[in-house]
Amino acid sequence: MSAVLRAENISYTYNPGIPGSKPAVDGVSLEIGEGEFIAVIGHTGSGKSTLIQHFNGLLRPQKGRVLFDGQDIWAKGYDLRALRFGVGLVFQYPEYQLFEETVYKDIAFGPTNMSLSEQEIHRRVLDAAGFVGAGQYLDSSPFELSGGEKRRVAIAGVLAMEPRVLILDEPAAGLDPRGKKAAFELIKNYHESKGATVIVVSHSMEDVAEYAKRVIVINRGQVFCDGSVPEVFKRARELSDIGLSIPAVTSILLRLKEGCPELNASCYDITSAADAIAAVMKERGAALC
Amino acid sequence: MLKDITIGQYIYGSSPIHRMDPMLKLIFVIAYVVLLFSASTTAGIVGAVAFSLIIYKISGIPIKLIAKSLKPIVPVVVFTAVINMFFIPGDPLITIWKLTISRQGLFYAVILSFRITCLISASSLLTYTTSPIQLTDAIERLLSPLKKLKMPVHELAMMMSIALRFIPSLIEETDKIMSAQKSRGASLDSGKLREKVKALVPVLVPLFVSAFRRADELALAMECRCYRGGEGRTRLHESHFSSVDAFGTAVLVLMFGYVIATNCLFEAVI
Ligand SMILES: Nc1ncnc2c1ncn2[C@@H]1O[C@H](COP(=O)(O)OP(=O)(O)OP(=O)(O)O)[C@@H](O)[C@H]1O
Ligand SMILES: [Mg+2]
Repeated sequence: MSAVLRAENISYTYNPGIPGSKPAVDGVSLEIGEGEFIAVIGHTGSGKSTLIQHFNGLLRPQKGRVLFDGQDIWAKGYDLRALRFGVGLVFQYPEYQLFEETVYKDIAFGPTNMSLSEQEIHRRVLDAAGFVGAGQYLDSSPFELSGGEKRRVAIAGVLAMEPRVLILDEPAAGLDPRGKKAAFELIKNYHESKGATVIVVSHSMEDVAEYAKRVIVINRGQVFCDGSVPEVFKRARELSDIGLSIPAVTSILLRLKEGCPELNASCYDITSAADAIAAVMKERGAALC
Repeated sequence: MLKDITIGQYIYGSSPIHRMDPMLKLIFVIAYVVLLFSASTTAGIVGAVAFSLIIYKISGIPIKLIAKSLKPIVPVVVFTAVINMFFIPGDPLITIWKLTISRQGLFYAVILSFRITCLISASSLLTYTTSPIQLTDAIERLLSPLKKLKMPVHELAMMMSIALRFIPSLIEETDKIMSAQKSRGASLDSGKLREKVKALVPVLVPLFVSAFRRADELALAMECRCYRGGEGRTRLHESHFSSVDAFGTAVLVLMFGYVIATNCLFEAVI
């Protein structure tokens, strides 16, 4: 697996020089492989948003380097705009960035900036709108939509650029459970159909456990731990010390596992947990008889 | 880049200057400016400058911040000083080509630079040690006699404090929207003027939308708390004439006495 994005020991402080300012990102080194589905987790103010803004060149690290396809993005003559077409970033509450008269035009903003042909822009807008299920309101004004619908349109605006790396900052914040699920499903669809690398920022493990293959936990601007979902969940106690919790189901399974080691504890929803427990009971029951 | 704007930047503190009654502070700054421009002897000016240095020392505001607030006016000071230097007639000192610098001109230039510098640092000290809310409160109290003339003083002060309150929020919002549109490939900092203006649309539209949304929400929230203007409204922080205020008044009166005395005793330099 080759690394698309690499952060080498990056640090960033807002308002350096003002007494009392602490680094928001503090010596982070990461390697993001092509085609990965990664969740970045951390509690409020841990520096997640600051970190991901380094990946498409919105913030310049005060220390360290960021590499895209092995090239330093802050080297002289590097085309930052081209980088932003390759690394799509959906901001926290992206619905507030809509500005065009129609949804269609707003989604087309990114592709138009890429100077694509008319047909290609048209294809991408329809494609992205289809992805997020915004096909039926392409001709309405984005300001007439509900909050959740606006969110979808804003995400489509980034998807239409068909970035190789898609980064989303809290895409499910403020959505109801069904809206949350829909948001993650569409991200997963994009990941699978385009083979894109996806990084999702969240402060809730519950939301991402099902989808992400790798979890990076950020605490006070530093990487606290980085690994597969089960690996990270094994450190439940340390995670709760830094203000994060693992899904309730998983923590029950982990407790049960202490008494019966063969239990499969990497389940994040009730149905699969029940299946895992049933499997163990069946095995034990058979052995008892 | 937008974050570097510092309008009315309040530095939290608990020095006597911070604790002084905001309205009195406002009056003192105005009085100090009068003092600065009425001092016409070297001793008087030196005294006024020393006074502002001492006040700064007491306030505990870092010297770096004063330098920062003075930086934008350096060109103005230099320009005024140079113009005055050449155009005030008097005993010639140096002659360059057709321009003559007189002794009086040089003196006047130096004194004028001191006056402008002190004026700016005194007013920045006011904003450094007084929160915007306190300041608008002070303005409201200062202008309250005008209520008799049917001037909507309270409403004006309220508008001012709301505007001040929202400056940082709007700056932050602008920053965020700019980042978001840059992520979609908007080029906000290159190209010709026409393109630049066009590139502002994706930033300005969401900014206006959110400003109006905020205004709506704020109006609703104020209405929910039964806000109906200044009529019969009492204050959360009643101000009392404290010992700090009394001391400050005494010191300022003494300063006036000193300047008047020097003006009478010594020969005026300007
Ligand atoms: N524009 C800014 N100016 C100054 N400080 C900032 C700014 N943005 C963030 N910070 C500070 O940097 C730190 C990290 O903020 P960041 O937004 O990256 O956190 P986060 O992990 O994304 O939090 P959340 O989950 O609330 O979005 C915080 O302590 C915050 O106060
Ligand atoms: Mg954030």
